[in-house]
Amino acid sequence: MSKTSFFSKAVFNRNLRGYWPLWAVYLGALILLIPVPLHSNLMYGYEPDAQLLIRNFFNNALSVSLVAGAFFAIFAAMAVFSYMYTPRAANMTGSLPIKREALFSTNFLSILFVVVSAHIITAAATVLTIALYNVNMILVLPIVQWIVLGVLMTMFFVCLSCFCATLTGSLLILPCVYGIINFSVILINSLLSYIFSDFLYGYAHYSIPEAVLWLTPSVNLISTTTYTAKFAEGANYIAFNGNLEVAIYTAVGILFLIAGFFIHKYRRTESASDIIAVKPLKPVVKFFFAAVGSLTLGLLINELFFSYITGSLATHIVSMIIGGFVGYFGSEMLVTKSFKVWHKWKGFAAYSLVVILFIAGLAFDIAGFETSIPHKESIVSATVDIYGEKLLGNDPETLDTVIDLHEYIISNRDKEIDYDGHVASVEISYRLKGGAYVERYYYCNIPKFIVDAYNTPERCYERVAMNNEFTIVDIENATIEYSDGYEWQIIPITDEQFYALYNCMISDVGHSSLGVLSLGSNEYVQDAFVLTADFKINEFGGYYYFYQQIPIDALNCIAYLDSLGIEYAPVY
Amino acid sequence: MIEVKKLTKLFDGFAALNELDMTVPKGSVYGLVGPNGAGKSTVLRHITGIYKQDSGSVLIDGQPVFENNDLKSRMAFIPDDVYYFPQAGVRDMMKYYSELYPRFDHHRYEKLSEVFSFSDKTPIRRMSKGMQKQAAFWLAMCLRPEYLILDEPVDGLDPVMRRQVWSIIMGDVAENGTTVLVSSHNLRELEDVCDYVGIIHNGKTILERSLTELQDNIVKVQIVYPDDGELPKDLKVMNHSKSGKISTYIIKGRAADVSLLLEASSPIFYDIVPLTLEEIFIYELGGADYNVKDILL
Repeated sequence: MSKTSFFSKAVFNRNLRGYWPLWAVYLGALILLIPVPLHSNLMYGYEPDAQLLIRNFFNNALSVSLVAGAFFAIFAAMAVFSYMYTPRAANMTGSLPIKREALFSTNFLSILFVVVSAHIITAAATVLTIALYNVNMILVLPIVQWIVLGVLMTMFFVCLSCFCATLTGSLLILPCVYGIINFSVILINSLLSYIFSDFLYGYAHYSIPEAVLWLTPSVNLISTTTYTAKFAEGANYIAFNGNLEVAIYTAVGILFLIAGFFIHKYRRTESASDIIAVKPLKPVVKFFFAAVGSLTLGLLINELFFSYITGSLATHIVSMIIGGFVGYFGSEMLVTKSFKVWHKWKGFAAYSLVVILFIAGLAFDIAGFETSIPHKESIVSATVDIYGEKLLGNDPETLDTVIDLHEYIISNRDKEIDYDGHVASVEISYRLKGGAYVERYYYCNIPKFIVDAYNTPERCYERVAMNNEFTIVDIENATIEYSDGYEWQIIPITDEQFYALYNCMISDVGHSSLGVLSLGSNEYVQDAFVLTADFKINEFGGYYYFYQQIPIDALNCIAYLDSLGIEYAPVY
Repeated sequence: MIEVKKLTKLFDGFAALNELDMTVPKGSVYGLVGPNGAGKSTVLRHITGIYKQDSGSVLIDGQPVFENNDLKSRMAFIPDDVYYFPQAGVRDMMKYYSELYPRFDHHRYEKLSEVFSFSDKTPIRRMSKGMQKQAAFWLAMCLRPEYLILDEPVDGLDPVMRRQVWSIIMGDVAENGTTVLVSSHNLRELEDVCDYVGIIHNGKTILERSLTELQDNIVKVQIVYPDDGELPKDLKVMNHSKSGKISTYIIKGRAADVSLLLEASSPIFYDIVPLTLEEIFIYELGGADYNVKDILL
């Protein structure tokens, strides 16, 4: 019996020789997008500040490594596994004295070798560029860290693409499988959110659940792999973030690789040119595409023909079954390479029943989503966001206010749905013990107790007052904007006048509607003046822009402006 | 020795091979014949370790072939439709094979370049079908195989090159005891080279014997009887046709035995001639419901 080997020199050499243009394009892309822009910036002196240069360089290098790696992985897999996609090539390879284990692992190692080499060459070119322009920064360690991160991120995508390569017998389907595994979860989540928001009162879809992000590796990695740079006298500190995420994806990638290894070992050679090469996967594909058909084509049909009926049970069911029909039988035709697929109607009937139950479950809210409010004891903090103005806290009073608002909205649901008066968009979110979030979104009338809760004297003061202490010397470009009865005027005022007016505003808070939010209520607060100024305050890292509206009931402010000869008159 | 026992292979429920048995003695030239779709190529793909059987066994020198590197490195396979890497010339393929096959003979490669008179640097995909077949033989013969498996090997080759290729193969059989398993529809050619013949139909072996035994066991008789004469009832007639007074019979049995019985039936004239392989193929398959149908169009 021959012993098992996991490496074939012949296959490795063949991969490197046979697909060299692909490897060259990948290396070229890394060089072109990492050291070349750096060289241009240094040559033309765009970034004389070494710190800024380093910041820009690593931001760019991490993204390039990830995006180029994700694209390269699939093209590389298409190349080295191409023998699996035509019967002639599969038969030729099957007759050679190479074990399938060796073939798969050598193919993976060939790609990995190229990835590591390309990163090292790119890093060397970067160091050379920096040395050429005599930039006085110690970069060796961060560059090594970048190589490791870049290689590991790319390795995840390579493992994934190798796994995908074993699932299909068609070269054209391979990138589709890769794309589906990479992006289907986030797309299905968006489509489901769309349906949920049509049926479930209060369903919020403004944030992507963390699980969905984790199942969309490219999006998750690009948002988490950043870096922190601190520059101090004699000690430069550059730390990469997202290392845990990269480590987890690397581990998952290895699991994909192991799965791919075994599928490759046991898959039938005769599956070359089949759309799906793994038999147990065929029903999964059929029902997946039925669901995709319902969520895409079904929703489109519903929007095109029934958009005037919101949350209609019947139209959604009909549309989604039509979409599912196309997805189910279309995928069956592709998989079996035959148009005679109608005898598989039983599976479609079962799927249609699931669709009916699903939509009916949403329409009748059998999960009790619309009426569920977290228990106060399970809430860590709660937030209400009305037109971007937030009321948040973890104190019992705030929690009670948020829960009261939530209960008020639910109890007035039928009124709110039919109400066509003055309403506001309200986002309510709870952070629960254990880290989970509960989020709701409503478009409804705001009760008075919420307007009052938003406009306590303390909250009004917070809205009006500057966060930082300041003096007259910090003020620049102060202006007052008002109507003189004919048109709006913008006139400059002195720094001293601004300072005096600011103090008047502080004294008016709590005694007037200064800093008060109307939150869509019918109580109209008339603003008369707009006060603006620039501040040069270092803590803000540069300039700060002050903007405040002064209502006509802010008596101290109005009296001071009168003394300056600035009088408000409404424009007719 | 190649031993195939009760080999079964299903493709989406269709039995391409159905408990097929086959034995290729070591050092022999074995011709595998059968109608289109009989399962010849499928058998060869099992013997070369490309397909894994659903049941049964495929053994070479007593060992299973599938995923057996040692056996595969002693075997060369030339399929009906040969595959080469895109852009590759014969030299590129030679480099690849020489790294995979430890017995690859570089000296023979150079020698055979005199036989196959085209540049080994020309991309193979630019060559004609016949030249691609020549390239396959060039490479296969350099592997110094103990087992040479050929599927429609000379299809596309001109008559001179056919003879040349067979002469190289038969040289290897004579000198090195190479076992050759060849599937072909060109029965005239097989007749010249084969020691053994297997006929398969509908995924099953219907006949497997040495060629001489096969030819000894079936005869063609041309015979003329007087008006009241008739063929002895003991003879097993496979086919009968008549042209004027001359009757032609295909009879199962050894020529000597048939002759004795015919003598006893007092014919006016008779002649016994051996059957060609093509005739044996036609008449054997006729008995297996695969015959030429008289259809008026």
